[in-house]
Amino acid sequence: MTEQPTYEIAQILEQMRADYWHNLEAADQVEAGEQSDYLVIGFGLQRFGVPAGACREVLKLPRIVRVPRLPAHLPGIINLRGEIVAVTDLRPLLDLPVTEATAGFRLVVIASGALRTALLVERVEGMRTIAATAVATLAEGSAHAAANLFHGKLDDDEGRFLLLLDPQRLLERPDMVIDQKGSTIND
Amino acid sequence: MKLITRRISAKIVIAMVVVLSVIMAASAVLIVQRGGELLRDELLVKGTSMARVGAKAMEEVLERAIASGTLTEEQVFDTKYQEIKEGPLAGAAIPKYHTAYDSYLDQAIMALQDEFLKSDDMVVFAVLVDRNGYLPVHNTKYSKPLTGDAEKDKVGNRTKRLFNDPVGLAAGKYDGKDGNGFLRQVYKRDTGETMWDISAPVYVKGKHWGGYRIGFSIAKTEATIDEMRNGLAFTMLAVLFVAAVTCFFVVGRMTRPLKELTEIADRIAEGSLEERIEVKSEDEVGQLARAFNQMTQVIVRNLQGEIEKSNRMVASVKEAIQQLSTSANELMAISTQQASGAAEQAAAVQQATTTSEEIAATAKQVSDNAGRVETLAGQASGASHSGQQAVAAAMSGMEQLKGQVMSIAEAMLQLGENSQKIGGIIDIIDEISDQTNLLSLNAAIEAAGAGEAGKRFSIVANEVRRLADRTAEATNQVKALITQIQQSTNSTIMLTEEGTKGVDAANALVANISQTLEKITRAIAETSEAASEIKLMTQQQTTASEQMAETIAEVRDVASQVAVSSQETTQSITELTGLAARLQDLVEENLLAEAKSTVQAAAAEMARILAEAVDSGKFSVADIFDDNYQPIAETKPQKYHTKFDRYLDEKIQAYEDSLLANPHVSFAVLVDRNGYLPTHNTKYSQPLTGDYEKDKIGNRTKRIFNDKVGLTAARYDSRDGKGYLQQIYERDTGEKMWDISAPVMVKGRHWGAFRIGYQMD
Repeated sequence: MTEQPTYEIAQILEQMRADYWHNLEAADQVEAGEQSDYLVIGFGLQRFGVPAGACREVLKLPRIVRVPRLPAHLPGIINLRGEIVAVTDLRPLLDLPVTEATAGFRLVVIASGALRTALLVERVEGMRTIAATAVATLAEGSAHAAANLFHGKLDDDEGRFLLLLDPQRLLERPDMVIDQKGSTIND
Repeated sequence: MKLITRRISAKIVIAMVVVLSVIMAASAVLIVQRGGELLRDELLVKGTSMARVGAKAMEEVLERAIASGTLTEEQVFDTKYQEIKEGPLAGAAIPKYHTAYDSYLDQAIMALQDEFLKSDDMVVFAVLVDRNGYLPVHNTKYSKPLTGDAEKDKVGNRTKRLFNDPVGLAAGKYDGKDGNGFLRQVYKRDTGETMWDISAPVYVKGKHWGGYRIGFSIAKTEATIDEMRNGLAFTMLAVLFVAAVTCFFVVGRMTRPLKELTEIADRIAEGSLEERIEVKSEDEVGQLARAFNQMTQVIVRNLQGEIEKSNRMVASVKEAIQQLSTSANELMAISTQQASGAAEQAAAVQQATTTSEEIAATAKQVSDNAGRVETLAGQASGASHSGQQAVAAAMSGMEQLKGQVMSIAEAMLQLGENSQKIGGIIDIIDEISDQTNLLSLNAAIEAAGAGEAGKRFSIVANEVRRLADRTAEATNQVKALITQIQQSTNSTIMLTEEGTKGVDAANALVANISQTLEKITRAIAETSEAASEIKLMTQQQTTASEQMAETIAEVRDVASQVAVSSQETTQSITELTGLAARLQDLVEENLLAEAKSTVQAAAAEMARILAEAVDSGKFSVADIFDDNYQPIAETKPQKYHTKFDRYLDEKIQAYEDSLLANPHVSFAVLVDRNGYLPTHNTKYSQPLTGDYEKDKIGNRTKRIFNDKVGLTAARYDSRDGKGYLQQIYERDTGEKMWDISAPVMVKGRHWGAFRIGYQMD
């Protein structure tokens, strides 16, 4: 017990160092083809990719102020450095089970045009670079397609798939419309 | 013989006959002897005169022959005997001889000699013989012609032989010089006759020539004497017989009164004391009879007194015997008890001996065991001492352990505090890594915003994020470990607390053990002491039990002596009982004799009555033997009728009752061969009352008494020859009875028996 952690740490660090250099080289070499970065978020087993361009920042879960008469996917609002940002919970929209948010939950601030919101997520896995060729369209008539929030999906090597969120569609949904000049609400 | 010894007349007759016959025989012998002598004398006189006459005649003849010159003197004395070889006399078996004179003499004297034979038939021969016994001329009777048969000739022709046998020679040589003038010789002739030979000498010319022999046959004389004797004997026997018969009758008549006297005395002896003798005469017998009568009277008077006395005596003797018997029985019982008691005592003593031996053995064992206990107690004492030391060591060890546990507990508390501090540090690290994670994500987002320029930076940011993730994982692990450590320390602290408590408890236990060990040590000391005391005491006990065994042995000897003496007592008592029984038998013998004659007489009377019933035509033989018993209604015990019982009620009850005159007789009854009792004594034929117990005693008639005694009596038919049967039994009324029975025969068949019951007491 006493030796193993030391050994593991050294090994892990070594591994990480190797990965780091490998990734740098990979980033340098892989230029061919169109590709884009996605921030991978997840609820339970479900993972979703959010285009990195739409992401503004990741926050620790702050105090969420509850606003009366809002739908279930809008649990409240936060104060982000003086700006009021609506918090969006994707789980009611995707018919996923809703649990109480804990300290590990994060807020991912996304923006599309002038619209922005903070997505309440269970976890943030990290940045992932995905080739455009790997992205498949959603089958017509499926539940995900019906949600009208995704522009494709990525089949994983492990049989799992990654749904790629379209921030514009999300933010432009009629029930998501929040006036940018909604600063009146801010006060 | 009986006749002789039992009758005086016979005795007298025999005595008389003996005396008379002796006298008569003597006189007869005397008479016969006298008569014989007379006859013989007469015969001798006759014979001598004949012989002398014959001798003289022969002298005459011979001297005349010499004188006439027919024969010379020499010729006359010729002794040259020429054996006859020729003529009719030749060839005889016994040699015959001629002399010079024999032929002459044949003619001269034969007729003369024959005259003697004719004169007396007793004269067998009358012959001349010379001095050598030569017989020249025999009587005609003996001069028969020769037949050639030696035997016949020996008798028929005896002439011219030399009779030189002693008698013949003596007769020839006798010369009369002894003065008698004759010679008598008695001899047995060769023909077997007893002969008297009387001879007289013959002298010729003064010279002794020979002798003249006359032979008398004594047989004839003897026959005469015999005749005389026989006649005499017959006469005498006749006289004797007449005398004897007369005497017998006379004496018999005289002794008849004596005989009567004897018979009367017999009758008196048999018990008829009232007999008297008629005095018929005044002679000795009459006097005897009178004296006898007086004597009888006196004796009877005395005897009756004696009988009464002896009856009383017998009664008291009986009583005494019974008492004796009872006492003997009691004594017997007591001595039997004593014997059994002694035996029990002996057994008990034996047991006691065994027990005391066992006690001794046990005491020995106990002593040994006590010794062992002592040894073991010593060992235990040592062991408990070492145990106490061990306990002390354990207690100090326990104190040490307690201190160690306390320090462990303190260390653990320290450890818990430290791990909580580590947790605080880890929280900080966690916070930092979380922050780092956010930073790295935001950096990545910024890098993505920067496009191609932020490419490498995004990688860096990613790596930073990964590092932060890793750190978070590690801190999570550390947290888990700390939690574990805290749990462990907590449980360890609890355990050490429990351990402390356990050590305290152990301490208490050990203290207890120490106390207990002390107690044990004390107890062991006491045990050791007690064991030595036990040893001492059991040794004393052993000695005591040995003494006890000795004492018991003495007791046993005494007990066995008691047993022996009680056996002797038993034997003496047995003898005494036997004696009493014999005495009782003696006393009862009289009673039995009386009872026997009574019962037999009664049985005879019953047989007579039953036979009469048949003979008179009232009953057939089958009726009298009827055994088809008809039950009489409503009787208990059951009674029965037969064809003859009512007849017998009339005929025999009076007789049966008469036997009850004897106070000892309890009942006297007739029973048939099956025990059926047709008519009981009046005493037992009381009217029925209906009360069972009362009727059982008061009315016993017409029942069948087929109990063992009753049946035995009923079936007894006298085949054993005794004529009576005696039994002793207890009656159903409880009395002890003596049952005497005799069989009753009717028409030659066994009908039943007559039973008389005597009370034993």
